[in-house]
Amino acid sequence: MTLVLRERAILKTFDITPAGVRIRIRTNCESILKNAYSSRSRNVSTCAPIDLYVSVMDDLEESNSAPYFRGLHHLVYMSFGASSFVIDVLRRTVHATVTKEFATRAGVWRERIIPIILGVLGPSVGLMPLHAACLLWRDRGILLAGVSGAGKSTLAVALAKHGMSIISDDWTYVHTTDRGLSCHGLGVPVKLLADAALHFRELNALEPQVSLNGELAYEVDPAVTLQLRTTSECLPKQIIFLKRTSGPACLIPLSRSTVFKFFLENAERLPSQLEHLEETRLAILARLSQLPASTFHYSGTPQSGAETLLRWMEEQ
Amino acid sequence: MSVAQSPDLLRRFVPTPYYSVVETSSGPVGIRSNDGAFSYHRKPEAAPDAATINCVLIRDDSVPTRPQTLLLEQGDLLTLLIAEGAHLHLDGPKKEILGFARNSLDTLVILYWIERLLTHGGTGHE
Repeated sequence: MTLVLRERAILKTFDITPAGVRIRIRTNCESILKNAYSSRSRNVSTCAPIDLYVSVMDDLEESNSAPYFRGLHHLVYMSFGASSFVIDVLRRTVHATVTKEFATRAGVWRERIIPIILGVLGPSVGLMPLHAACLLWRDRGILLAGVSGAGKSTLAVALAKHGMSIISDDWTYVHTTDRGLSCHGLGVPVKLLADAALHFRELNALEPQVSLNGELAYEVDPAVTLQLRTTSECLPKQIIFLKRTSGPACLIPLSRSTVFKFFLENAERLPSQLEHLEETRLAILARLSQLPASTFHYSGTPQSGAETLLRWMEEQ
Repeated sequence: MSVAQSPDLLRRFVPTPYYSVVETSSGPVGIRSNDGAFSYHRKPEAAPDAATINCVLIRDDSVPTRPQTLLLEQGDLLTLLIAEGAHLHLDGPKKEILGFARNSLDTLVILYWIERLLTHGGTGHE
Protein backbone atom coordinates (compact mmCIF):
# COMPACT_ATOMS: atom_id res chain seq x y z
CA MET A 1 0.00 0.00 0.00
CA THR A 2 1.29 3.45 -0.89
CA LEU A 3 0.85 6.35 1.46
CA VAL A 4 0.50 9.63 -0.42
CA LEU A 5 1.82 12.61 1.52
CA ARG A 6 1.27 16.18 0.45
CA GLU A 7 3.46 18.96 1.76
CA ARG A 8 1.87 20.39 4.86
CA ALA A 9 0.33 23.83 5.04
CA ILE A 10 2.97 26.39 5.97
CA LEU A 11 2.56 27.77 9.48
CA LYS A 12 5.86 29.56 9.76
CA THR A 13 8.32 31.25 7.38
CA PHE A 14 11.68 32.57 8.48
CA ASP A 15 15.21 33.17 7.16
CA ILE A 16 18.57 31.96 8.35
CA THR A 17 21.91 33.05 6.82
CA PRO A 18 24.50 30.32 7.42
CA ALA A 19 27.77 31.08 5.56
CA GLY A 20 26.21 34.32 4.36
CA VAL A 21 23.62 32.50 2.23
CA ARG A 22 19.96 33.25 2.83
CA ILE A 23 17.83 30.17 3.38
CA ARG A 24 14.09 30.78 3.53
CA ILE A 25 12.46 28.07 5.62
CA ARG A 26 8.77 27.30 5.21
CA THR A 27 7.44 24.75 7.63
CA ASN A 28 4.48 23.45 9.59
CA CYS A 29 6.67 23.03 12.70
CA GLU A 30 7.15 25.90 15.14
CA SER A 31 10.23 24.54 16.85
CA ILE A 32 12.41 23.60 13.89
CA LEU A 33 15.90 25.11 13.95
CA LYS A 34 14.88 27.24 16.89
CA ASN A 35 17.99 28.92 18.30
CA ALA A 36 20.23 27.04 15.86
CA TYR A 37 21.40 30.25 14.18
CA SER A 38 21.40 33.11 16.62
CA SER A 39 24.10 35.28 15.06
CA ARG A 40 23.66 37.10 11.75
CA SER A 41 26.34 36.98 9.11
CA ARG A 42 28.12 40.28 8.30
CA ASN A 43 28.79 39.34 4.69
CA VAL A 44 25.52 38.12 3.19
CA SER A 45 25.51 36.94 -0.40
CA THR A 46 23.33 38.94 -2.80
CA CYS A 47 22.27 35.76 -4.62
CA ALA A 48 18.63 34.60 -4.58
CA PRO A 49 17.77 32.59 -1.45
CA ILE A 50 17.46 28.85 -1.09
CA ASP A 51 13.88 27.73 -0.44
CA LEU A 52 13.70 24.98 2.16
CA TYR A 53 10.27 23.40 2.63
CA VAL A 54 10.07 21.26 5.74
CA SER A 55 6.99 19.11 6.24
CA VAL A 56 6.86 17.44 9.61
CA MET A 57 4.73 14.31 9.27
CA ASP A 58 3.08 12.40 12.09
CA ASP A 59 2.42 9.40 9.86
CA LEU A 60 6.04 8.49 9.04
CA GLU A 61 7.16 5.19 10.53
CA GLU A 62 10.62 5.45 12.10
CA SER A 63 13.50 3.60 10.42
CA ASN A 64 17.06 2.94 11.57
CA SER A 65 18.73 2.96 8.17
CA ALA A 66 22.11 4.68 7.92
CA PRO A 67 22.44 8.13 6.30
CA TYR A 68 22.26 7.77 2.52
CA PHE A 69 23.16 10.24 -0.28
CA ARG A 70 22.71 9.96 -4.04
CA GLY A 71 22.42 12.37 -6.93
CA LEU A 72 21.47 12.38 -10.62
CA HIS A 73 21.41 15.35 -12.94
CA HIS A 74 19.99 18.33 -10.99
CA LEU A 75 18.51 16.32 -8.11
CA VAL A 76 20.14 15.03 -4.93
CA TYR A 77 18.33 12.73 -2.54
CA MET A 78 19.37 12.05 1.04
CA SER A 79 17.76 10.15 3.86
CA PHE A 80 18.38 9.93 7.58
CA GLY A 81 16.27 7.04 8.84
CA ALA A 82 12.65 7.80 7.91
CA SER A 83 13.36 11.46 7.14
CA SER A 84 14.14 12.34 3.54
CA PHE A 85 15.36 15.35 1.57
CA VAL A 86 15.18 16.12 -2.14
CA ILE A 87 17.51 18.91 -3.24
CA ASP A 88 16.79 20.54 -6.60
CA VAL A 89 19.91 22.39 -7.70
CA LEU A 90 18.31 24.08 -10.71
CA ARG A 91 15.38 25.50 -8.74
CA ARG A 92 17.43 26.16 -5.56
CA THR A 93 14.84 24.32 -3.49
CA VAL A 94 14.94 21.62 -0.85
CA HIS A 95 11.91 19.53 0.05
CA ALA A 96 12.24 17.82 3.42
CA THR A 97 9.79 15.27 4.81
CA VAL A 98 10.79 14.55 8.38
CA THR A 99 9.57 12.95 11.55
CA LYS A 100 8.65 15.14 14.49
CA GLU A 101 11.59 13.77 16.46
CA PHE A 102 14.03 14.61 13.64
CA ALA A 103 12.59 18.11 13.18
CA THR A 104 13.46 19.15 16.69
CA ARG A 105 17.09 17.92 16.66
CA ALA A 106 18.69 21.36 16.19
CA GLY A 107 22.21 19.89 16.35
CA VAL A 108 21.58 17.57 13.40
CA TRP A 109 20.21 20.43 11.30
CA ARG A 110 23.12 22.72 12.17
CA GLU A 111 25.91 20.14 11.95
CA ARG A 112 24.69 17.87 9.15
CA ILE A 113 21.70 19.02 7.12
CA ILE A 114 22.51 22.70 6.54
CA PRO A 115 26.20 21.99 5.66
CA ILE A 116 25.11 19.32 3.16
CA ILE A 117 22.48 21.61 1.61
CA LEU A 118 25.07 24.38 1.22
CA GLY A 119 27.57 21.90 -0.19
CA VAL A 120 25.13 20.66 -2.83
CA LEU A 121 23.45 23.98 -3.69
CA GLY A 122 26.61 26.07 -3.35
CA PRO A 123 27.26 26.61 -7.06
CA SER A 124 23.66 27.78 -7.62
CA VAL A 125 23.91 30.46 -4.92
CA GLY A 126 27.44 31.71 -5.59
CA LEU A 127 29.08 29.67 -2.85
CA MET A 128 32.10 27.41 -3.12
CA PRO A 129 32.63 24.76 -0.45
CA LEU A 130 36.37 24.42 0.02
CA HIS A 131 38.02 21.41 1.63
CA ALA A 132 40.18 23.51 3.95
CA ALA A 133 40.41 24.61 7.55
CA CYS A 134 40.13 28.32 8.25
CA LEU A 135 41.52 30.47 11.08
CA LEU A 136 41.51 34.13 11.97
CA TRP A 137 44.76 35.67 13.15
CA ARG A 138 45.07 39.42 13.72
CA ASP A 139 42.22 40.21 11.32
CA ARG A 140 43.80 37.98 8.69
CA GLY A 141 41.93 34.95 7.41
CA ILE A 142 44.21 31.96 6.91
CA LEU A 143 43.16 28.89 4.95
CA LEU A 144 44.85 25.57 5.73
CA ALA A 145 44.52 23.17 2.83
CA GLY A 146 45.94 19.80 1.89
CA VAL A 147 44.96 16.28 0.99
CA SER A 148 43.05 14.15 3.50
CA GLY A 149 45.38 13.04 6.27
CA ALA A 150 47.72 16.04 5.92
CA GLY A 151 46.75 17.14 9.42
CA LYS A 152 44.52 20.15 8.76
CA SER A 153 42.34 19.65 11.84
CA THR A 154 45.11 18.90 14.31
CA LEU A 155 47.27 21.80 13.10
CA ALA A 156 44.23 24.12 13.13
CA VAL A 157 43.55 23.18 16.76
CA ALA A 158 47.25 23.55 17.66
CA LEU A 159 47.31 27.02 16.05
CA ALA A 160 44.11 27.96 17.87
CA LYS A 161 45.80 26.90 21.11
CA HIS A 162 48.32 29.65 20.31
CA GLY A 163 45.66 32.33 20.08
CA MET A 164 44.15 32.06 16.60
CA SER A 165 40.37 31.89 16.32
CA ILE A 166 39.02 28.80 14.65
CA ILE A 167 36.41 29.21 11.92
CA SER A 168 36.40 25.73 10.45
CA ASP A 169 38.61 22.65 10.60
CA ASP A 170 37.40 20.82 7.48
CA TRP A 171 34.99 22.62 5.15
CA THR A 172 35.09 26.36 4.57
CA TYR A 173 32.41 28.08 2.48
CA VAL A 174 33.63 30.89 0.24
CA HIS A 175 31.70 33.53 -1.67
CA THR A 176 32.47 36.88 -3.21
CA THR A 177 31.31 40.15 -1.72
CA ASP A 178 32.00 43.77 -2.62
CA ARG A 179 34.90 43.56 -0.12
CA GLY A 180 36.46 40.57 -1.86
CA LEU A 181 36.26 36.94 -0.89
CA SER A 182 34.52 36.01 2.32
CA CYS A 183 35.19 32.71 4.14
CA HIS A 184 32.63 31.18 6.48
CA GLY A 185 32.37 28.31 8.92
CA LEU A 186 29.13 26.76 10.07
CA GLY A 187 29.94 26.23 13.73
CA VAL A 188 30.11 22.49 13.28
CA PRO A 189 32.20 20.38 15.67
CA VAL A 190 35.92 19.96 15.07
CA LYS A 191 36.69 16.41 13.98
CA LEU A 192 39.91 14.93 15.33
CA LEU A 193 40.97 11.36 14.60
CA ALA A 194 41.40 8.95 17.50
CA ASP A 195 45.19 9.47 17.78
CA ALA A 196 44.68 13.22 18.44
CA ALA A 197 44.24 12.33 22.13
CA LEU A 198 48.03 11.97 22.22
CA HIS A 199 48.35 15.70 21.51
CA PHE A 200 45.31 17.25 23.19
CA ARG A 201 44.80 16.00 26.75
CA GLU A 202 41.22 17.33 26.90
CA LEU A 203 40.23 14.44 24.63
CA ASN A 204 41.39 11.78 27.07
CA ALA A 205 38.18 12.07 29.05
CA LEU A 206 36.13 11.29 25.91
CA GLU A 207 35.53 8.23 23.78
CA PRO A 208 35.98 8.52 19.99
CA GLN A 209 32.83 7.72 17.99
CA VAL A 210 32.23 6.44 14.47
CA SER A 211 31.66 9.53 12.33
CA LEU A 212 29.44 9.97 9.25
CA ASN A 213 32.17 8.71 6.89
CA GLY A 214 32.97 5.70 9.09
CA GLU A 215 36.17 7.08 10.68
CA LEU A 216 36.74 6.71 14.42
CA ALA A 217 37.01 10.27 15.63
CA TYR A 218 36.32 12.83 18.33
CA GLU A 219 33.77 15.39 17.19
CA VAL A 220 33.89 18.19 19.73
CA ASP A 221 32.79 21.76 20.16
CA PRO A 222 36.13 23.61 19.99
CA ALA A 223 34.97 26.35 22.39
CA VAL A 224 33.57 24.00 25.01
CA THR A 225 35.87 20.98 24.97
CA LEU A 226 39.13 22.59 23.88
CA GLN A 227 38.51 26.12 25.26
CA LEU A 228 39.42 27.66 21.89
CA ARG A 229 38.31 30.98 20.50
CA THR A 230 35.87 30.59 17.63
CA THR A 231 34.43 32.93 15.06
CA SER A 232 32.21 32.48 12.02
CA GLU A 233 33.75 34.41 9.13
CA CYS A 234 36.79 36.27 7.82
CA LEU A 235 38.35 37.86 4.77
CA PRO A 236 41.06 35.42 3.58
CA LYS A 237 44.58 36.78 3.20
CA GLN A 238 46.77 33.70 2.91
CA ILE A 239 46.65 30.00 1.96
CA ILE A 240 48.92 27.42 3.52
CA PHE A 241 49.05 23.91 2.13
CA LEU A 242 50.16 21.24 4.57
CA LYS A 243 52.51 18.45 3.73
CA ARG A 244 53.92 15.93 6.16
CA THR A 245 57.63 15.32 5.65
CA SER A 246 60.43 13.44 7.35
CA GLY A 247 62.92 16.26 6.85
CA PRO A 248 63.21 19.69 8.47
CA ALA A 249 60.26 22.07 8.33
CA CYS A 250 60.17 24.58 5.50
CA LEU A 251 57.78 27.00 3.81
CA ILE A 252 57.85 26.99 0.00
CA PRO A 253 55.88 29.52 -2.08
CA LEU A 254 53.32 28.14 -4.51
CA SER A 255 52.29 29.40 -7.93
CA ARG A 256 48.75 30.65 -8.63
CA SER A 257 48.18 27.89 -11.16
CA THR A 258 49.08 25.19 -8.60
CA VAL A 259 46.59 26.61 -6.11
CA PHE A 260 43.88 26.90 -8.76
CA LYS A 261 44.47 23.34 -9.99
CA PHE A 262 44.46 21.85 -6.50
CA PHE A 263 41.11 23.32 -5.49
CA LEU A 264 39.55 22.61 -8.87
CA GLU A 265 40.59 18.94 -8.77
CA ASN A 266 39.44 18.66 -5.18
CA ALA A 267 35.95 20.01 -5.91
CA GLU A 268 33.09 17.68 -6.59
CA ARG A 269 32.44 17.22 -10.29
CA LEU A 270 29.23 18.73 -11.62
CA PRO A 271 27.05 16.79 -14.06
CA SER A 272 26.59 18.19 -17.57
CA GLN A 273 23.08 19.41 -16.60
CA LEU A 274 24.72 21.84 -14.16
CA GLU A 275 27.68 22.86 -16.31
CA HIS A 276 26.48 26.45 -16.45
CA LEU A 277 27.14 26.73 -12.69
CA GLU A 278 30.81 25.92 -13.16
CA GLU A 279 31.46 29.58 -13.97
CA THR A 280 30.70 30.61 -10.36
CA ARG A 281 33.22 28.16 -8.99
CA LEU A 282 35.88 29.14 -11.50
CA ALA A 283 35.44 32.84 -10.66
CA ILE A 284 35.87 32.14 -6.93
CA LEU A 285 38.88 29.91 -7.55
CA ALA A 286 40.49 32.54 -9.79
CA ARG A 287 40.23 35.10 -6.97
CA LEU A 288 41.36 32.59 -4.38
CA SER A 289 44.47 31.72 -6.35
CA GLN A 290 45.50 35.41 -6.24
CA LEU A 291 46.18 35.09 -2.51
CA PRO A 292 49.75 34.46 -1.31
CA ALA A 293 50.15 30.70 -0.94
CA SER A 294 52.87 28.39 0.35
CA THR A 295 53.36 24.75 1.21
CA PHE A 296 54.32 24.14 4.81
CA HIS A 297 56.40 20.97 5.02
CA TYR A 298 56.55 19.79 8.60
CA SER A 299 57.14 16.80 10.85
CA GLY A 300 56.78 16.16 14.57
CA THR A 301 53.80 17.04 16.71
CA PRO A 302 51.04 19.47 15.74
CA GLN A 303 52.23 21.72 18.58
CA SER A 304 55.77 21.97 17.21
CA GLY A 305 54.39 22.50 13.70
CA ALA A 306 52.13 25.29 14.96
CA GLU A 307 54.99 26.98 16.83
CA THR A 308 57.26 26.88 13.76
CA LEU A 309 54.56 28.18 11.43
CA LEU A 310 53.59 30.97 13.81
CA ARG A 311 57.20 32.06 14.19
CA TRP A 312 57.58 32.31 10.41
CA MET A 313 54.29 34.16 10.07
CA GLU A 314 55.38 36.63 12.77
CA GLU A 315 58.63 37.24 10.83
CA GLN A 316 56.65 37.88 7.64
CA MET B 1 49.89 17.82 -3.97
CA SER B 2 47.50 16.94 -6.73
CA VAL B 3 44.48 14.77 -5.98
CA ALA B 4 43.91 11.78 -8.24
CA GLN B 5 40.33 12.46 -9.29
CA SER B 6 37.40 14.60 -8.23
CA PRO B 7 35.29 12.55 -5.84
CA ASP B 8 31.89 11.25 -6.95
CA LEU B 9 30.34 11.11 -3.50
CA LEU B 10 26.78 11.09 -4.85
CA ARG B 11 27.40 8.46 -7.56
CA ARG B 12 26.24 10.86 -10.24
CA PHE B 13 28.66 9.45 -12.79
CA VAL B 14 27.85 5.74 -12.79
CA PRO B 15 28.06 4.65 -16.44
CA THR B 16 24.65 3.93 -17.98
CA PRO B 17 25.38 2.09 -21.23
CA TYR B 18 21.92 0.58 -21.75
CA TYR B 19 19.01 2.43 -23.33
CA SER B 20 15.54 1.09 -24.07
CA VAL B 21 12.23 2.68 -24.92
CA VAL B 22 9.35 1.03 -23.06
CA GLU B 23 5.65 1.68 -23.53
CA THR B 24 3.56 2.91 -20.62
CA SER B 25 0.00 4.18 -20.49
CA SER B 26 1.48 7.66 -20.17
CA GLY B 27 3.53 7.27 -23.36
CA PRO B 28 6.92 5.90 -24.39
CA VAL B 29 9.57 6.19 -21.70
CA GLY B 30 13.26 6.08 -22.57
CA ILE B 31 15.18 4.33 -19.80
CA ARG B 32 18.91 4.79 -19.53
CA SER B 33 20.47 2.44 -16.98
CA ASN B 34 23.43 0.41 -15.81
CA ASP B 35 21.06 -2.60 -15.99
CA GLY B 36 20.45 -4.12 -19.42
CA ALA B 37 17.35 -6.02 -18.23
CA PHE B 38 15.01 -3.16 -19.19
CA SER B 39 15.66 -4.00 -22.84
CA TYR B 40 13.55 -7.20 -22.40
CA HIS B 41 10.53 -4.91 -22.02
CA ARG B 42 11.35 -2.52 -24.82
CA LYS B 43 8.89 -1.56 -27.50
CA PRO B 44 10.48 -3.29 -30.53
CA GLU B 45 9.39 -0.79 -33.17
CA ALA B 46 10.15 2.34 -31.10
CA ALA B 47 12.82 4.64 -32.47
CA PRO B 48 15.42 5.75 -29.88
CA ASP B 49 14.07 9.32 -30.06
CA ALA B 50 10.45 8.23 -29.62
CA ALA B 51 10.45 8.70 -25.86
CA THR B 52 8.47 11.62 -24.50
CA ILE B 53 9.65 10.99 -20.97
CA ASN B 54 13.26 10.29 -20.07
CA CYS B 55 14.32 8.12 -17.18
CA VAL B 56 17.71 7.39 -15.64
CA LEU B 57 17.67 4.38 -13.34
CA ILE B 58 20.76 3.22 -11.46
CA ARG B 59 20.95 -0.20 -9.85
CA ASP B 60 22.52 0.26 -6.43
CA ASP B 61 22.37 -2.18 -3.53
CA SER B 62 22.99 0.49 -0.92
CA VAL B 63 19.53 2.04 -1.34
CA PRO B 64 17.88 1.72 2.08
CA THR B 65 14.67 -0.22 2.56
CA ARG B 66 11.79 1.45 4.41
CA PRO B 67 8.88 0.35 6.57
CA GLN B 68 6.37 1.82 4.09
CA THR B 69 6.13 2.97 0.48
CA LEU B 70 5.57 6.72 0.26
CA LEU B 71 4.62 9.04 -2.54
CA LEU B 72 5.62 12.60 -1.70
CA GLU B 73 4.11 15.53 -3.57
CA GLN B 74 6.73 18.26 -3.48
CA GLY B 75 6.05 21.24 -5.73
CA ASP B 76 7.17 20.37 -9.27
CA LEU B 77 8.58 17.08 -8.01
CA LEU B 78 6.98 13.77 -7.11
CA THR B 79 9.13 11.44 -5.05
CA LEU B 80 8.36 7.76 -4.68
CA LEU B 81 10.16 5.96 -1.86
CA ILE B 82 9.64 2.24 -2.36
CA ALA B 83 9.73 0.06 0.75
CA GLU B 84 11.81 -2.69 -0.90
CA GLY B 85 14.67 -0.28 -1.66
CA ALA B 86 14.23 2.30 -4.42
CA HIS B 87 13.66 6.01 -4.80
CA LEU B 88 12.25 7.54 -7.97
CA HIS B 89 11.84 11.25 -8.60
CA LEU B 90 9.58 12.65 -11.29
CA ASP B 91 10.34 16.18 -12.41
CA GLY B 92 7.03 17.09 -14.09
CA PRO B 93 8.07 20.17 -16.08
CA LYS B 94 11.23 18.46 -17.33
CA LYS B 95 9.39 15.17 -18.07
CA GLU B 96 12.19 13.27 -16.41
CA ILE B 97 12.39 10.44 -13.89
CA LEU B 98 15.62 9.94 -11.95
CA GLY B 99 16.18 7.17 -9.46
CA PHE B 100 18.13 4.39 -7.82
CA ALA B 101 16.92 0.84 -7.09
CA ARG B 102 18.29 -2.26 -5.46
CA ASN B 103 19.19 -5.16 -7.75
CA SER B 104 16.64 -7.32 -5.93
CA LEU B 105 13.75 -5.27 -7.33
CA ASP B 106 12.49 -6.92 -10.51
CA THR B 107 12.45 -4.70 -13.61
CA LEU B 108 8.72 -5.39 -13.97
CA VAL B 109 8.15 -4.04 -10.46
CA ILE B 110 10.15 -0.92 -11.29
CA LEU B 111 8.19 -0.42 -14.52
CA TYR B 112 4.97 -0.76 -12.52
CA TRP B 113 6.12 1.99 -10.14
CA ILE B 114 7.22 4.21 -13.02
CA GLU B 115 3.73 3.83 -14.46
CA ARG B 116 2.18 4.69 -11.10
CA LEU B 117 4.41 7.73 -10.74
CA LEU B 118 3.51 9.01 -14.21
CA THR B 119 -0.19 8.40 -13.70
CA HIS B 120 -0.14 10.26 -10.40
CA GLY B 121 1.97 13.05 -11.87
CA GLY B 122 -0.30 13.44 -14.89
CA THR B 123 2.69 13.61 -17.23
CA GLY B 124 1.27 11.34 -19.92
CA HIS B 125 -0.64 11.93 -23.10
CA GLU B 126 -4.28 12.63 -22.39
